[in-house]
Amino acid sequence: MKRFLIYLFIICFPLAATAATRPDNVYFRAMNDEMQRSLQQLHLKDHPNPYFVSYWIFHNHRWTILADMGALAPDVYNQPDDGDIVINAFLSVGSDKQDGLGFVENDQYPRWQYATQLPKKYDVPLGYESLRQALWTATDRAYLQAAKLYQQKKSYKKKKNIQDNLPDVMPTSPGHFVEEIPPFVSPDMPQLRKQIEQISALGKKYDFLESFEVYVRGGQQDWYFLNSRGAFAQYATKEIIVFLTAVFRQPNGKIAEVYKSVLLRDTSDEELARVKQKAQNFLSQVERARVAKSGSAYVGPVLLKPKAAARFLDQTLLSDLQNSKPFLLNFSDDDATAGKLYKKRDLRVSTDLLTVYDRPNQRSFDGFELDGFFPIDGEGVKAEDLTLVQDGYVKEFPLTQRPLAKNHRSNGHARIMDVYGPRERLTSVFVEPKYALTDQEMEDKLRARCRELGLEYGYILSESYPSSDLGIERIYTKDGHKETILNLDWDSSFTARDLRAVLAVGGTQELVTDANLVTPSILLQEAELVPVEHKPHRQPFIARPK
Amino acid sequence: MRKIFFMYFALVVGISPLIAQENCKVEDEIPLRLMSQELKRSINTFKKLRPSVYYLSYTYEDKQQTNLSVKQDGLDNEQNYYSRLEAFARAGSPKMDNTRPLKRESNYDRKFIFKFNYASPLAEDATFFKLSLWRSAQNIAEAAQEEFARVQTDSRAAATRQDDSDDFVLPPVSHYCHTQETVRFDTDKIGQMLRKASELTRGLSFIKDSRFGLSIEQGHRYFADSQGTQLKTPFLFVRLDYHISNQLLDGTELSRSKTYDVVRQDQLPSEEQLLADVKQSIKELEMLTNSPEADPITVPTILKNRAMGVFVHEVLGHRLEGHRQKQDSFGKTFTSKIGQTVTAPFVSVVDDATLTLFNGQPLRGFYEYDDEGVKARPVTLIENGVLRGFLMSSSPIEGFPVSNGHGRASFGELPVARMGNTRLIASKTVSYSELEKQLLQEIRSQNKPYGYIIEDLSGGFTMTESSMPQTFKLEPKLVYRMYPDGRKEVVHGADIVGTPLVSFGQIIAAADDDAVFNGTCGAESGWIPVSAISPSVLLKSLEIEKTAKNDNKPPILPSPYSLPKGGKK
Repeated sequence: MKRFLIYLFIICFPLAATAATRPDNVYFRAMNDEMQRSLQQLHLKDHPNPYFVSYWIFHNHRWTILADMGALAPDVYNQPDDGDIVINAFLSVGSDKQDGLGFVENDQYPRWQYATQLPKKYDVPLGYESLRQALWTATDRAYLQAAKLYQQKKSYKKKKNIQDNLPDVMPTSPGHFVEEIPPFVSPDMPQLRKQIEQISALGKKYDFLESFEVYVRGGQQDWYFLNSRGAFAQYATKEIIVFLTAVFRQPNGKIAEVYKSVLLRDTSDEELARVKQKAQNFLSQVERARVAKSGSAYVGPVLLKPKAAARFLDQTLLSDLQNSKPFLLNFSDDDATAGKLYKKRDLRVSTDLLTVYDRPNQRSFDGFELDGFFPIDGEGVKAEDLTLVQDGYVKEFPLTQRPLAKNHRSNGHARIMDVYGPRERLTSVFVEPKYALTDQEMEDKLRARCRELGLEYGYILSESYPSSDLGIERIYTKDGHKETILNLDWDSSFTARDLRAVLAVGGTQELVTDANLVTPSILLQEAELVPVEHKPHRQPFIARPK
Repeated sequence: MRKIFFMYFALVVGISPLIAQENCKVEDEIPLRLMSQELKRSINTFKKLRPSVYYLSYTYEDKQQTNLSVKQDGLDNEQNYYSRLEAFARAGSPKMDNTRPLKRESNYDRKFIFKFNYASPLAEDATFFKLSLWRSAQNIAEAAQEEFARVQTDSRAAATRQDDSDDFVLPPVSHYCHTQETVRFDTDKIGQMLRKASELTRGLSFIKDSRFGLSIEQGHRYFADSQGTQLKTPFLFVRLDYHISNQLLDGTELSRSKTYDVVRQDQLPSEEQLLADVKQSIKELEMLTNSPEADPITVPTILKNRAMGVFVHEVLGHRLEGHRQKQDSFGKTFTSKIGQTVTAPFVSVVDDATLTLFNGQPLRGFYEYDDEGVKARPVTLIENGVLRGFLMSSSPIEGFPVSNGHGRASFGELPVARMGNTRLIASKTVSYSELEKQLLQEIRSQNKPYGYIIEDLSGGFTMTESSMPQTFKLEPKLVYRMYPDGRKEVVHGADIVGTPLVSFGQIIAAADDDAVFNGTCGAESGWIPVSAISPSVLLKSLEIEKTAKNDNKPPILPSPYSLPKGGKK
C-alpha cells in the first residue's frame, strides 16, 4: 500500500503541477501587468532589452511579545499584527546565450536584485496601485543595473579572452506550486502576554541576574512568485520562536550575556509549558555557569551536540557544496565564495558514518516548520530533493539553470540571496547516521576514547559558539560526571579532512534553525579547544536594588 | 563639517497645543517616585567616587504614536506605544566635567546618555524598572568617569579656551506636574479623506510619486535629577501633510507639499479644503515642471513670511545658541556683538517657548520645561536691530551665567542651547502688496533684469564651525521671478546662499502678514520640534545659486499610477 501511494504521488504530482493555474489575485495582477509592460517597453538606448523578469512578493505578518523580569515591554514590542510587504524584482538582459548575470563589478555592491518595501498594513487587496508603483520602481533600478552589468561582463570576457562553450542559461521547464493562503490570525495576545510575562518572572528568583528577557516572535510569510518564463508559486510559511536572554555579572565582575532560542510548534498550553521548562533549565545552567571555572587548552576527542555539529558540518562540508559555479569577478581571479567540492566529484570527502540529504520539499520536522521549504526555486524551477553525500562520496550537488557542464540540468536549487543573483544553494539539510548510537552510548564512546588516550576528561560542546559563556561541559573519564566550564572556544580551522575523522554519530536528530539543518550529535576523534581571555569588569558602585 | 538642518518634512512632526497648567502631584506619579528613590539611593555614593559623579538625572518618556500614510491606493495605519528611559551623569565638578567638548580629539564617539528602549514602570511590580534605573546609572556613571579622564588630558594638552566659563551651572530645583488626557482622532474618516486626495494625483504624467499622511504623537515626559527636581510634562504633536514630486530628465527634483498642524480633529482642513489645496499644489508642480531653470544672480528678493521664518532660524537663530559662543570650534559670528546693531532698526527677534499659539495656529516649539529641567522663558535676542542676548542651556558663557530654559535635545542626546518659538517682529510694516511694489522699485533702481519672490521653501542648513565658511543655504521649493514690468514667472532650481552678517543686514522693509513655519530642526543634540514666526521681508540683495541635481535619471517608464485611468488591472 505504501509503495502504491508513493507511485501515485510520483505520477500525480507532475499532473497537478501542469494543471496548476496562476492565481487571480491582486499580487499576481500587479506582477503580471508590470512584467508585461517592462518586457515590452523598458528600453535604454544602445542597451539590450530585458528578456527575463521575475518577481517575489513577500507579505509578512508578524506578532511579537517581549517581557523582562516579569514586566511586559510596551506595545511597540508587543504587536499583534505587524510586518511589511517586500517586493523583489530580478531582471536579466541579453539572451540565454549571453546575459549579464554571474559577473560582480566590485565587492562593495554586488547587486542584481532590487527590493522595495511597503508597510504591511497597506490594505491589500485594495492596494493594486501601491504594488504596481513599488514593482515599477524596483524593476527600473534592476534594469539599469542589469544593463550596466551586461556591458561590463561583455568587456571583461573580451579582456580576459574568455570564450564559453556553454550558454549562460540552460532553461528548464517552469515550475508551479499553488496553495490557498490562509488568512493570518494572531494568537490570543492578552493570554499569551500573561504567560510570557510569567516565564520572564522566573528570572526574579536569581538575585545575580540583571535582566532575563523573553522575546517571542511569530508570524506568517505569504509568498507570491511570478517569472516571465511562466513559472509561478503561491504559498505561506509559519514560524514561532522564543529567544531567552540573561544578563548577569560573574563573581570576577565580567558582564555576561547569554541566550538560547526555542522553537514552538504553536501557542498551545503544552508548548508554552515546554518553553517554561526550557527557561527554567536555561536559568539553572546560567546559575552553574556563573561560578564555573575557566578551562585550559585541550587537544582530544570532543562530542559535538547538534548545534555545535551544525557549525562543524557547515565549515567542513556544506559551504563547499554550494555556489559551485564561480562568479566572474572584476576585482579578483578567484571567487572565494565558490564551493570547492564540485571539482572533487567522485572522490571520498567524508566518513561513511553519515548520509547527507537536501530536502526542499519537506515542510516540517518533528512538528516544526522548516525555513528551507522551497518548492519552486528563484529561477522558477521545481526544486528536487537531493542525496548530497552517501558512503562518504558526494553524489549530487544543488544546481541552477546556469550550466556547469554540457549535459547540465537545473535541479531547482537557485536561491537569490539578498542582493546576489541566483546561486546554487542548499535548502533544508538532513544528516542521518549509518549506525545510530544513543546519547548515553555517545558519551560512553567519548570516555572510552579519552581512556585510550590517557586523558582525565573529554569535552561536550552543545552550542555553536561555546565561548559565549554557556555550552561547554567537561566529562570525566573515570566516573562520567560533568562540570560546566567557561572561557573556552574551539579552534575553528576545521577542514574537510576532519570530516573523515568522525568516530560516531548519534541517533537523536535535532533541528538547528540558524543553519536549516537537522543533525544528530557527532563525536570527533580530535579537536582543539583554546582558552579565551576576558577582562573582568569592576563591581557596581551600589548594590542591586531589592 | 557640521550642518544644521531645518526640515519641513521630518521624522517627528506636529504641534503642541498644550496650555501650561499644573494639575497633578509629582508624588503621585510612579515613574517620578521610582526615579527619585534610585537617585537618592545612589547620589551620595556616586559623589564620593574618584572622580566624583556629582550629578545624575533620569528622563522617562511614554509615547503613543499613530501614523496614517496613503500612497496611491494603499493605506497604512500604524499605532505604537513606546516607553523609554535615559540616564545622564556628570563626573568631575561644575567647573570642569565630562561634557566639555574635546579640542584635540573627535567628539563624535562620546557617550553621555544611556538609553533603555523599553522600561515600563507600570508593570504589576516594578522590579524590572528599578533594575533598569540601577543598570543605566551604573553604566552612564562609568562612562562619565571615562569621559572626564579624556577631558582632563585634553584640557592639559589643548590650546587655552577663549571662554573659560564653567561647564555646568546646577539648575534650580523644580517640582511640576501636568497631565494631559489622550486626544483622539477618527483615523478611518481621515484615511478616507487622504485616499480621495491621493486619487487626484492619478493619471498625471508629471507626478512621479506622492504621499499623504497623518501623524499623531502624544504622551508625557518625566524628569528627575539628583538635585531633587521632579517634572511631569505632556506633549502632543499632530500633523496632516502631503508631498507630491517629480523629477526632470536632467535630474532636478521638484516637489510641492503642505502641512496642517492641529491639536483637535475639528481644526483639520475639511475634505473640500484639502482637495482644493492638493489641486493647487498639482497645478504648481505642473508649472514647475514646465518652468525655466534659474541662473546664479544677486538681486533684490522678497522672502515670504514662512520662508523668512526659516531664514531667521538658519541665518541668525543657530548662531545665537549659547554653546556656539563658547566653543572655539565655532565661528562665533555674533559672540562679541552684544549691544551692537546687527540688522535693520525696525527688527526685533525673540524666542519664546512658552507661546502655545500664534494667530490661532498651534506652535510646535512650545514646551514648559527644557530637557535639563529648567523652566522655559522668553528671551529677547535682538531689540530694534541691536543684539541683546543668547539662547542658554545650563552650560554658562561669559556674561550669561545661567540657563534661560533652552537646553534641548531629542531622546538619547546631550542637551545644548536650541531654539523654541523664534519670532521676528517688525515695528514698521507695510501691506504685502506694498512690499511687492517696493521690490519692483528696487529692481528698477538697481537696474536688475528681475528680482525674486521666494514663496515657499523646504528647509536649509547653516555651517557654524570655524574650520568651514560661515555660510548658509536655503532650499526654496516655489520661486517666482518678478520682472521690471511687474510680470511674474515661475522658475525652478534656485537655492539661496549667503553669509549671516551680510544677509541679515539686507532687510529693508517688512509686511504685516506674520505667519508660522512649524518644522523640525536637526543639530548636534538631535531632532527637535521648533516654530519660526515672521512677516514677509524685502531684502535689498540676495544671492541665488543653482540647486544640486540628482545624478540618476528618472525612471525610464512612467509611473503606472500616472497612466490613464481605466487601464489594465
